[in-house]
Amino acid sequence: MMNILVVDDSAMARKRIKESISKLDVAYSIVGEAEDGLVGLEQFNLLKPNLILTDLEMPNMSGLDLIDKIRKLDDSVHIIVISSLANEQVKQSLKHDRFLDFIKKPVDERVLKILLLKVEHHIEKGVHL
Amino acid sequence: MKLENYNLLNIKLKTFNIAIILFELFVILFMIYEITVLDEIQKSLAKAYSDKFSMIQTADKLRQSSDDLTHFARSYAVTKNREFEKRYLNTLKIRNGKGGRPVGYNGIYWDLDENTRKMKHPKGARESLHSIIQSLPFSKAELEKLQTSEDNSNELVEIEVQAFVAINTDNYDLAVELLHSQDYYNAKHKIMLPLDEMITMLENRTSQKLILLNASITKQFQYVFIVSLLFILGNILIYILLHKKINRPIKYLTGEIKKFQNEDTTVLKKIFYKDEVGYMIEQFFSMEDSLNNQKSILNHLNEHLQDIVTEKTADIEKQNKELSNLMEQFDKYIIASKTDLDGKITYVSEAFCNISGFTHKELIGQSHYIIRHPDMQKEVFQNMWNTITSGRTWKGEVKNRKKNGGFYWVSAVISPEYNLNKELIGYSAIRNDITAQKEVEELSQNLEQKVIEKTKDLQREKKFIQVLLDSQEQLIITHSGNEMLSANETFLDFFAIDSVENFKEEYKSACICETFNTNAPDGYLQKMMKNEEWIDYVISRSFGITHKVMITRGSSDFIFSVSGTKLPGKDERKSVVFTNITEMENAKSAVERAKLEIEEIHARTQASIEYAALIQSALIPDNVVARRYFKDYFAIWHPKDMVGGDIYFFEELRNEDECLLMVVDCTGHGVPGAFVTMLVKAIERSIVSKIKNSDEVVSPAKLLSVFNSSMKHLLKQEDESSISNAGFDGQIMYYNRKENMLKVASARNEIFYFQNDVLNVIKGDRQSIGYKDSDVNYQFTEHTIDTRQGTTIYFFTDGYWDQPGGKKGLPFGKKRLKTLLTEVHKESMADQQEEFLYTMKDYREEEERVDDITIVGIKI
Repeated sequence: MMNILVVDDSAMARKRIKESISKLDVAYSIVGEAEDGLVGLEQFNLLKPNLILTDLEMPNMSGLDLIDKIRKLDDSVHIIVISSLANEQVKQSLKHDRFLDFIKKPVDERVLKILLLKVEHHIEKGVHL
Repeated sequence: MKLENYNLLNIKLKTFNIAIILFELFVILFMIYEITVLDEIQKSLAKAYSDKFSMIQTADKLRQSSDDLTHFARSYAVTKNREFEKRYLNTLKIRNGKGGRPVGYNGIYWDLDENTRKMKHPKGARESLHSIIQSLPFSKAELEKLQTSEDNSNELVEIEVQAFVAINTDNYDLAVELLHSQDYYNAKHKIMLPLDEMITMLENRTSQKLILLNASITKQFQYVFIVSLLFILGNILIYILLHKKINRPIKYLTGEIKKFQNEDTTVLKKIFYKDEVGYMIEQFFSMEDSLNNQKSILNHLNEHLQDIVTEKTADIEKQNKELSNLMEQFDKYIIASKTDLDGKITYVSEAFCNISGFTHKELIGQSHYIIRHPDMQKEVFQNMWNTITSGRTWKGEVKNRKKNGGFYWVSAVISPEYNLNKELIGYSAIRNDITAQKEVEELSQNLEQKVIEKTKDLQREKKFIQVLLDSQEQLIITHSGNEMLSANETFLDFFAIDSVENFKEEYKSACICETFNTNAPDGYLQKMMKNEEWIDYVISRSFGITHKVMITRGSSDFIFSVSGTKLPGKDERKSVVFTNITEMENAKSAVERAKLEIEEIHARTQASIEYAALIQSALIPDNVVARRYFKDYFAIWHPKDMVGGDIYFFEELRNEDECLLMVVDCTGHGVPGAFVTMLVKAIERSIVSKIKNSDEVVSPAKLLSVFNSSMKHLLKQEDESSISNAGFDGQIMYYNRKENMLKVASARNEIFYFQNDVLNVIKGDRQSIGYKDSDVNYQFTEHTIDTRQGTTIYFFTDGYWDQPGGKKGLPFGKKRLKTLLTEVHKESMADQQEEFLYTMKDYREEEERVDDITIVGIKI
């Protein structure tokens, strides 16, 4: 069972992600939603999810700051960045993180599915690849 | 007993079901039969009773009529009333069937007065007692008694007649005496005695019959009881068998399935009986085994899936690159063509065009006949078509016609071509140019003939042949058995010898095969090939096969293609031609090396582009800064490739109330586009720093003019001879928060904004920035928007509305964009960003992206 936290300032985007995930026939459940990094961090501490799906550009606390804060608390929780930001610099700065993947908006559901399966596989096996 | 039980449980359920049905059917049929039998007996019994009643009644009628007659006769004698005489005669008439028998005559009749009698008992049919008796089932003995009684009655009637005669002669006393005489009583006794006996007989007989019938009823009831008992016992047996055969195994199997679902592996294999359920359990276990196997395979696969996906993707990309390089080389060096099913050419390689002398355009769509040489026999093509149309590959040598009328020989391999659905779609052919080889072959074949023809002048002939041989570039030798007989000048030159004898001395062998490189890779000729001498091997496989041999001379390897033929005459001489193809072979490996180089260059280019993307990213403004100025804000910057020709800038100006936004779509996309964006950025930096150092009012229209002249100047586009023709389209927005004022100007691209839910469109000026033909003095139009009432404004590059998609592959278009804007403009900017992205994704579907896309939306 995977517990997922979704962080995105667009309610539309959160709804879309939820729909995409509910279409996959695996036991994922979205345990929390947040509209910015600040709420996301609170939710993370409260819910202890296995996976965080986060946007990058958000008011109050950006996705990059959220990832920084989370990594100080937990260096191996899985994070998938879902962003429309086509900034090569940002991508490079996230490249070294072994438990982080990047999906560009608009999301290709096939790519999302493969990444979720990968994360599930890691969590189930407890193997850090 | 034990064995029988075992057998019964092993019976197949199908057979068992049929047995049950047959058993139940038997019981039902038996019961129906019993009901019919009992019904029959019941009917017989009822008839026996009714017969008995009728017969006794009839006997009683006989007695009654006799008593009536006595009574009326006596009453007449005593009273002399003629009424009694009349009654007496009537009774007699009724008895003998001469008068109608009144209805209910055997009940109360004569004692009623005349009126009542006539009213209640009207006359019925005439029926003598005699006939009534005959119609009833009396036994013979009983009938005899009745007959006796009837016969005896005549005596009594005789007395009564005497009495009536006495009455008529007024001798009443005699009449009375006669009717009460001992004779009269005796006569009466004679009538009544047989009647009495008959009744006793009748009673006995009918009672016996009734007893028999009752006994048979009892017997049938016993049968029914026994069968019912059998039925109950049978059903109990069926229940026990079904429980053992079905319920228990199914309960067991359900348990095993639950265990299997819970992944409990403590399997207790138990097979019950050899019936269908037993078979089902066996099948379950075999299924469970195979599922367990599959499950472990799946688990294993799952663990490696991600690695495989990554590895495979990289693999496929690499293969794609290799393939495209290979295809280029293929096109250049291989004589190849493809045709459709009718032989119409659908593809020809560059090499094909070169050798045939036709252009690509002249060949496509033509029939392959266009290159057929008249020398070729029809049978060869017949054979070829038969082979390929039957799905096999054809190999052979073909002489083809050039456009200029010349010819060339090829060794061709033609194979059928299939599409993904395995349907035959055409044929493809690959050929080797063997013209030179062929010429020599033909020459060799004719050699001997020529010698014979020219015997008259042998000297001249020999000289001629020598000249002929030496004019070739090939090494030519003649052979007899394993011994070399002669060689041409080229051969002697190659081995640096004077004569064939010299060769034999130097290589200590009479055969050229001693010089073959035995370390050559697969596919090269050796001294012995498949248990055949090399020379015989070559000659026996002349058709369609190119033989290669490697010969090392000094420090270099030479590669020859080898063909041979038998010479005419009895001495079994053979001639062999070695064609030097070293250069061609080396060219092949050069192609391989070139391919590797190209791959390396490609990898380097990729790395450069990645670096360029990193640099271009640095130009993209930090959206956090922009967000501080507005109520809400979003920006989408999506280059088609890693780098793009779109860019946007956001600058804070002289104080915290002033800012400048610029959206730019430069010439082209990809790397060239990116170069232009760098240039625009440089100009923009200098313009912004000038603004920051002055107090001038900022005018977007003027800024566009500055960009125009700077671009033209920097790219030296001011004179006609310039070869640079780069530039950009774009919009500039200046915002002053304090003054609630927005100023915009646009080169080409529209600006959309909403105020009070009304969509306003500002058309861009029909003038681009830069480019050779733009007017350096052009004045751009400036639009001022009052923002006190709340404004939402959008800047697009044309990549958004030009993107094809939908069913017909048409561009998205501005009309659709306006509808989309109207629908979403009230939502939050984060949501709007989603809408713009996903609306385009849904519209584009599988169409390729055509251009970079930039959108900036601002809510004030």
